[in-house]
Amino acid sequence: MSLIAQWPSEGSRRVPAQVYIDSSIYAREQERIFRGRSWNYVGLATEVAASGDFLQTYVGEIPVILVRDRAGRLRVFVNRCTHRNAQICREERGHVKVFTCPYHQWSFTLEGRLAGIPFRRGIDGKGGMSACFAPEQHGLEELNVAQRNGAVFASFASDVEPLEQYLGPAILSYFDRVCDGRALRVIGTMRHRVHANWKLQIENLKDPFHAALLHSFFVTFGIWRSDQETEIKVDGHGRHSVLVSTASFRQNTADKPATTRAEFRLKDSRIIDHEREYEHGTGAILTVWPNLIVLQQLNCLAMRHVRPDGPDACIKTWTFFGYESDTPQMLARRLLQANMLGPSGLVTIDDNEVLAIAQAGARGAPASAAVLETGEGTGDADHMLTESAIRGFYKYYRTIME
Amino acid sequence: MPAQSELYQLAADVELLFTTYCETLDDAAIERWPDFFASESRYRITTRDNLERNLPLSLVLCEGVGMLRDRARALQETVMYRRRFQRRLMSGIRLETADGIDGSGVKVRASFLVCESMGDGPTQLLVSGRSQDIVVREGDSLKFKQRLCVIDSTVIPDSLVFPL
Repeated sequence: MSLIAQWPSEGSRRVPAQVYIDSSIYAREQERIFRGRSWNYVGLATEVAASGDFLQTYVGEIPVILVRDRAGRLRVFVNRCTHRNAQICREERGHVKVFTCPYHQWSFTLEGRLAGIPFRRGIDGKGGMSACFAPEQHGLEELNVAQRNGAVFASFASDVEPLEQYLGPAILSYFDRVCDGRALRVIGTMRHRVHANWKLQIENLKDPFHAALLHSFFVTFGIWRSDQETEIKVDGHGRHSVLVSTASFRQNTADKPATTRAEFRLKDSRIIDHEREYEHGTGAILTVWPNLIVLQQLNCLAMRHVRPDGPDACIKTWTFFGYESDTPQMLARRLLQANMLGPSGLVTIDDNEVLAIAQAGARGAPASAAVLETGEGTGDADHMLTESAIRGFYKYYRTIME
Repeated sequence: MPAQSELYQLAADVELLFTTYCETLDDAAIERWPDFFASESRYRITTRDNLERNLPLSLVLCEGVGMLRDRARALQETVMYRRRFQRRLMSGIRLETADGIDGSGVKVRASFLVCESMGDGPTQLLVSGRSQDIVVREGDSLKFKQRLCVIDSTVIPDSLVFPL
């Protein structure tokens, strides 16, 4: 309680600036949220397709390795030699038979067992490991793993509920809409470091009504308007949400941003040309507690992992994917529409900039609080003019953090 | 095979193309950026990581000069960003092929560094990388028929607002 003592009496209708800037709150988040009872996205199963394939990633700010073991099972280990802390894995991805620490050559099997120790019995009977040393007690630190239709999650907690129950029925149904069991195909990665607390990035995708005000590109081409058909679903705890929206692709003079001078028509509309893939909504953007964004915007599909990097920054990794069964035409759409997203995205740049100035504003006024007074409650809505999903997020955040 | 003097002239012309290209973007004259491209052209920014893994995703992908003009206009009119100043350094400009400037084009490789200054912060290195381009003659000027920029790092510091 003491850490966030100044939470205003309005509850989740206010967010104290401290939660974005305070380093002790940040440290508590690592302990209680990321090392706590949460399922953390670590990768797609197809990225580690064969036994020995590995991928280096993060749970919160803790470096972990996702690897497929000899039996084909997915495992997640902390990337740390149990001897003297050196990271056993230095490449972002690759293929190994065993993980060997370069420092003193301790080696670990794909199952995490400590299998090799040089000079264990010394040289000529002198030195070597102590008689009381028990290698079986020094395997890699292992996390629990859950998989759903090709997406892989890990948890430090042994008592976290099954992933499906964790997501809840409404979020699960939208998750399954994209990850529906078809074989996924990774089409590329984008990564950038944004000068904003990780929660500001998550909130951004729970905030439906900034899109039609900030993102002139969306508004100009009728991809996201304040008046379009909308569905917001928040899980029972408030921790996950989905924003479903249906683009009209019509320009609306009332909504038209002041910055647009003459009428802006695309000379080549292929960067927004959409082909319907799912039964309703042209976009469904999920936020899964704590730090995953599952993005379906027109034909772009991406797992957007938001890695905390100190209170003042986060690193966003976008793993864009499609399906193995995609036609060349569908792949071309996904690749061209990606122009709107990522570090050079015609829409994402707006967010990067706004999040950075929101962080700077919070830094400059540490005793202040953000105001979430749009709409009511912390639950579902059928319109965009609400901050209910952000309030839900902080309602749950407080139960974990206080 | 062109004569040695013609090759020197071509190398000088290509270098001038790169110099004026950088100058134009450093001056933030984004509306003139598409003028450096042939009508049938392809512009792409990706990372070394994506390229090495044979993954087709790009950070920026423009197929044809229409898409270049759309991006230039969007950056001027619809995208919100803080004012920033950029400085491009391109070096090691080398013609990989000598023939074809009036036909399929000549292949040109180069290295780039882009620095950025914003607000009251110091100048920072935004990206480094290499380019693999195809240059053709259109009328009496040289244009990019292909420009592929491959960024060395996997992580971009913040946003890459303007083209490389």
